[in-house]
Amino acid sequence: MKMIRGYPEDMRKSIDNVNKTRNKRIDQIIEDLSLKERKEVLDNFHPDYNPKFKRNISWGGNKGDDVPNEVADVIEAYPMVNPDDIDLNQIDYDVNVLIIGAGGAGTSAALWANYSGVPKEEILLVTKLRLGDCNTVMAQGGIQAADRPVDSPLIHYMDAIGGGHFENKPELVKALVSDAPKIIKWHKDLGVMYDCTEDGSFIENPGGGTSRNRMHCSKDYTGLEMFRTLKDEIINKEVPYLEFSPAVELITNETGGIAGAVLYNIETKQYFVVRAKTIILTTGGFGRLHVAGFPTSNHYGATMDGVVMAYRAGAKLRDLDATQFHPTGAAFPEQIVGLLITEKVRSLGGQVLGRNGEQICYPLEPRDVEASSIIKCCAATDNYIETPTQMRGVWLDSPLIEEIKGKGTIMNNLSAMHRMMNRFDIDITVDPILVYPTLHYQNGGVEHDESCHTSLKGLLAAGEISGGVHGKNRLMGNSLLEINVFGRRAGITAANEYKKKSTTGKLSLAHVHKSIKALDALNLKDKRYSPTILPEYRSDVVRDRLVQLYEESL
Amino acid sequence: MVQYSYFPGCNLKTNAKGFEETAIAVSKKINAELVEMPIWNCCGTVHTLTSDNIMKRIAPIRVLSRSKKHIETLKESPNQVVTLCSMCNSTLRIVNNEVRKNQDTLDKINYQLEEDEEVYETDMEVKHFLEILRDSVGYEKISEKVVNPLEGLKISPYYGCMLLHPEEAKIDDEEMPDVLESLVESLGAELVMSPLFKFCCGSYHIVDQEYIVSSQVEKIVEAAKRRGANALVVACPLCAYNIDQQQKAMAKNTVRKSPIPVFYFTQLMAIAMGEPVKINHFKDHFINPEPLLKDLGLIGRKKTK
Amino acid sequence: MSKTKTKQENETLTVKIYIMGSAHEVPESLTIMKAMEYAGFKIKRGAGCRAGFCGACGTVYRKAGDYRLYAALACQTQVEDGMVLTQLPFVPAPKGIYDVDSLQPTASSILKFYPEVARCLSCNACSKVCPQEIQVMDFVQYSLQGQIDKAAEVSFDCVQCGLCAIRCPAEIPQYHVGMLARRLHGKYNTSTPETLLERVEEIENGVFEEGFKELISLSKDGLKKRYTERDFVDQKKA
Repeated sequence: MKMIRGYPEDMRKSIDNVNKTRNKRIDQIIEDLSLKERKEVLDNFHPDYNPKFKRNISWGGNKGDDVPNEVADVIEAYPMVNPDDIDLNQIDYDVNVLIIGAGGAGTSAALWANYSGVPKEEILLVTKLRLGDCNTVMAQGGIQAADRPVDSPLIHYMDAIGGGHFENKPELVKALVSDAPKIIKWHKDLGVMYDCTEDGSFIENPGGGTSRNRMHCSKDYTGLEMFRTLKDEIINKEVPYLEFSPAVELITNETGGIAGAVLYNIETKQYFVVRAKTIILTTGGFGRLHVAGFPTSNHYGATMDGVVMAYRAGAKLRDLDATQFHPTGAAFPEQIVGLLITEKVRSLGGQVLGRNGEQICYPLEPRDVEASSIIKCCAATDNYIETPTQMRGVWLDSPLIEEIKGKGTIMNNLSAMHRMMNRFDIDITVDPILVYPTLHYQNGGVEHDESCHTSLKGLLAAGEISGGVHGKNRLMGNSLLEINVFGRRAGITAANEYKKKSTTGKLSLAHVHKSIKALDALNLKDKRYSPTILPEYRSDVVRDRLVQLYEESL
Repeated sequence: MVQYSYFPGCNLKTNAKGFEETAIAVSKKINAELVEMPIWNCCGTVHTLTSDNIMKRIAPIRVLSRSKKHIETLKESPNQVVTLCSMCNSTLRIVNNEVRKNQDTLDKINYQLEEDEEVYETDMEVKHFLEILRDSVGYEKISEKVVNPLEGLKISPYYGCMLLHPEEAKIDDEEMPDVLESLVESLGAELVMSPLFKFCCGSYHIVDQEYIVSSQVEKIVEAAKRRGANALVVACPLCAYNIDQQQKAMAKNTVRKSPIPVFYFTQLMAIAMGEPVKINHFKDHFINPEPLLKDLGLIGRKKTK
Repeated sequence: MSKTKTKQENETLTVKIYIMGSAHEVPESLTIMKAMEYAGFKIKRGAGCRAGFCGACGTVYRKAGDYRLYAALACQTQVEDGMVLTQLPFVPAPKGIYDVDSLQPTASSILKFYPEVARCLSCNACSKVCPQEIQVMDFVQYSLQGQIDKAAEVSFDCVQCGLCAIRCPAEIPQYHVGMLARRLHGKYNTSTPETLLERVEEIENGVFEEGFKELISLSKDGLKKRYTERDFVDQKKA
C-alpha cells in the first residue's frame, strides 16, 4: 500500500474532491435540521435508539430502566470484593470528607471543601490512576460561560435544555449556567490561561447547538490547562491524596446512609477501609465499557465504577439510556481510531464532507444529531470513505479553517490536533481528517440536587458520574463547566456538613450482601464481577498460544 | 544605521532593566543600534569554567552560534556579539578564546550542538558595549549628541574585576584603563579618580558571606567620596547591586550616613542625551539618584544656568 | 539490520519487538502501549488518557543498530521492527509549594521555588526528549530571564510527562517550572475582562431570577417553541 503524506493512495482520490470543492464551500451553508428532522435521524441511526444495543435493568431501584447492554452488564455483576473479607473494625483512614475520583470534579470539590473551612487533614482524595489521569485533561474544545453582553445565562439555559431534548433537571441547568461566569473568574484568579484577543477580552467560539459564541478555550488544550492548574493548587494546599487506590465498594451505616468506602490498591492488591462523614463520588463515566462496540475517546479508567457502587448502596440513577457519541472521533490512522478530534475544528469553520467532497450536514448540530447524520452517511449511503482496515468515515475539512480564518489559525488554535495527526505524517493544514463517531460521554448517572446531595444520606455526586444536568444529550463545553460548578458545590456542601455535629454511625456492608442476594435470584447465565476498574485489552491470541505451549510441554 | 547583535544576559532582564533600556535608547542615537537576539540562553557564568568540564561550555558557545545566526538578519552588522554585563562579556570571551585555540574542545561541543543546528565556527568576536563606544563610535560623536551636559556630577569610575581581568577577557589596560574616564568626560561630568577602581566588590559572596561584601564596598565608596565624588559609574549589574544595596544597609546600621548613587554608564549617557527619565528605572535603585540629579538641575526642570 | 516482516495466518503484518528483554511478534499497526497489551501485559502504571494528553505513558526505547535512546508517549507512537521497549514509570519531581496570590511574575518567583533553574547548562537535552516537541530549554531560560510571558507561551503544550526532568543533567524539574510560569502569566500578565466581572455581579444580584422562574415554569411544549424560535447572533445560519 503506497502512502502519500500520511494517506493511502486510494484515499487520496477522495481528498482531491475535497480540495476541488473547497473554494465553492467557503460561504456555503447547509441548513440545520428542524426538531422533527432531528428526531427522524436519531430514531433511525443513533445507537441509543437501536433496541439491539439495549436491555432493561433487572434488579434494584432502577429495575426496568432501558440502558445499554454494557451498562446492564456491570450492574448485573457480582461485587468483586467479598464483603466477608473486609474487617470494618480496622479503620485505615478516618476523615471527614472522602472524595472518590481525582479528575476535574473531585479536585474542584477538594479545593472548595478546603476553601470553605474543612481542614486539609480532614479531606482525603482517592483515585484509580494518578491525580489527573482523567477525561478532564482530554477535553479540548472549551468551557461555556455566558459572560458577553449579547449573551445571558437564560440563553445558555435554553441552549442546554434544548440540546438535552428538554429532559434535563431544570434546577441543575439553572445552577450550571448561573455559576459559569463565577467559575471562569475563579480560574482567572488561579492563573488559568484562557485565550484572549489583543484588547484583553476572551476569545469565545460557537459550539454545536449554542446560539451564542460562549466557548472559552485555551488552544485545544482547554481541559489540560484547567486541570493542571487545579492540580498545582491542590498540591499547594497540601490536601492528601492516594493514587492507584480506587474505591471498590461504598460502606453504609445502620440507617442506610453512606459512611465510608473500601479502597483497593491495584498494585499491592490490599484493601483499605475509609470512614468519612461525607463521601463525594466523582468517578466519571463509562467510555471504557465500549458501549455498542464503539471505540472511545475516554481515559483508561472510565469504567463506571462509581455508578455501580452507588447503585448497590441504593442510590437513584437516571438518564442512563442516553449515551453520547462524539460526532468526530479519528477514523484513520488505525493507531488513533476513536481518539477525539475536537468539536473546535467545526466551531472554527471545519465542514463535514462525504467522499465526493460535498457537505453532508450542518456542522454545528447538537452532538447526537451530528453523530447520527454521520452514521447515516456511512450506513445508508455510499458517500463514505473506506480505510485499508475497512473502517468507514467522512471527511472533516480542516484546511478550510485556514481559508476562512487565515494562515496559522490551526497552529495557534489546534496545536494538539495538529501534533497528533502529524505524528502519523498527516498535516491537517493541508489535508482533511477522516472521522467517525466515537463513544464520548455518559449523559446520565447518579441523580443529585443543586447541592449535589444524592438520594442517600452522606453521599454527594458531581461530574460525569451524575445524571440530570444534560438530559439526554450534553452540549460541547458544558462538561468542563459541570465538573467545576458541581465539584465546587459538592465541596461547599461537604464543608457545611463538616460544621454540623453528627456521627457516621456503625459501618456496614449489609448492602453488598443484599446485592449478592438480589443477583443470586436472577440466575444469571454469565457470572461477571464489577467494578471493572480497568478494561481488558490483552490479546486472546497470545494468551491462547501461551496456554497451548504449556499444554504441549506437559 | 549599524546594527549589533545584542546579548542581554539574565540580569539585564531582571534587576538591571534601567541599564538595558538606556543602552538601547542611546545606541540608536549614536548609529550603533543594539538589537536583542531573538532567542538566547544564559552565558554560563554561573558554572565554574574548570578546564576539564566541556559540558559547562555549551551555554556560551550556543550563545555565540545563535548570535551568528542573528547577524544574518541584521543590517551592516559585523561579526560581533555585544554585551552590557561584564560577567557575560568575560565568560563569552574566555570560552571563545579557548575554542579558537583548541579545535578538539570545539569539536566536542559542536557535536552536542549539531542536532540543534547550532554549530559554532569561531567566527564571532565578543565586545562589551564600552568597546563599541570607544572603538567604533568614538567619544567625539558621543559628545556631539550631548544636549544636557552632566555639569556638577563628580563621578568616580569603578571597573570591578571582570572588565580588566583576566588577560584574555579584558577590554582595557588593567593598570591604567581610560574607557570609563573618557566617556564620563565626553558627557560633561567631572572625573574623580580613585585608587580602588578595580578593588573587588565582593561579588557572589553577597549570597552567603555578606560581611565580605560590606567591608569591600565600604572601602570602595569611602575612597571615592574622600576624593570628592558624588556618584559612581559602573558597567556590571552585580557590582551595581552590591555597592548600591550595601550603602543602603550601612546608612541604616553605621555612621556612614551619606551614601552616593551608583549609575550604569548608559544611564549617564541617556541623561546627557536628553532621553526620558523613566527609562532609567531609578525606582530599582537602593540609593535613588533622582534627588542629586534634580539638585544639579540635570532632570526635572529646565536648566537655570 | 534485517527488516523481516512475517505474515501470520490472518495476513496481519507483524514486527518483532523486545519487551523487558523478551521477544514478541505483534501487529505492525499497534502503538507501543497496545503492543504491550497484545503481548500480554496488563498495564497499571504508565497509562492514563491513552490519547496524548495526560503524560502518564512517557517511555524510552532503543532501536536495533542505533546508539540513541529514544523517548516518546507510548500511546502515540507506532511500533517498529527491532524496537527494544521497557516501561518507564512516572517519577514525580518535588513541586514547589506556593501561594500564587503572594507572588509576582518575575524570575525571582521562579528561582525562589526552583533555584536549580540557575544550574541550566543550556545543553538542550530536555528539548530533544520532549514528546510534544516543546523548546524546553528555551522556556527554562525565559524563566531565568524573567520573561514569564514567553516562558508561559513556549511551555503551553506541556503534558507534564516528566521525561525532561529525568534527562536533565542539572536536575531541573522543567515541567513544574513551566507550570509556575503559566500561572504567573495567566494571573498577572492578562487582565480579567470587565464584562465577566459585570456578569458575575448581575448574577449575584439576582438579575436573572425572574427569567429563570419563568423558563422553569414553562411546559415542555412551551420550551420547545421558545427553543425553536431563539435567535442566533454570532453564527451564520441558512
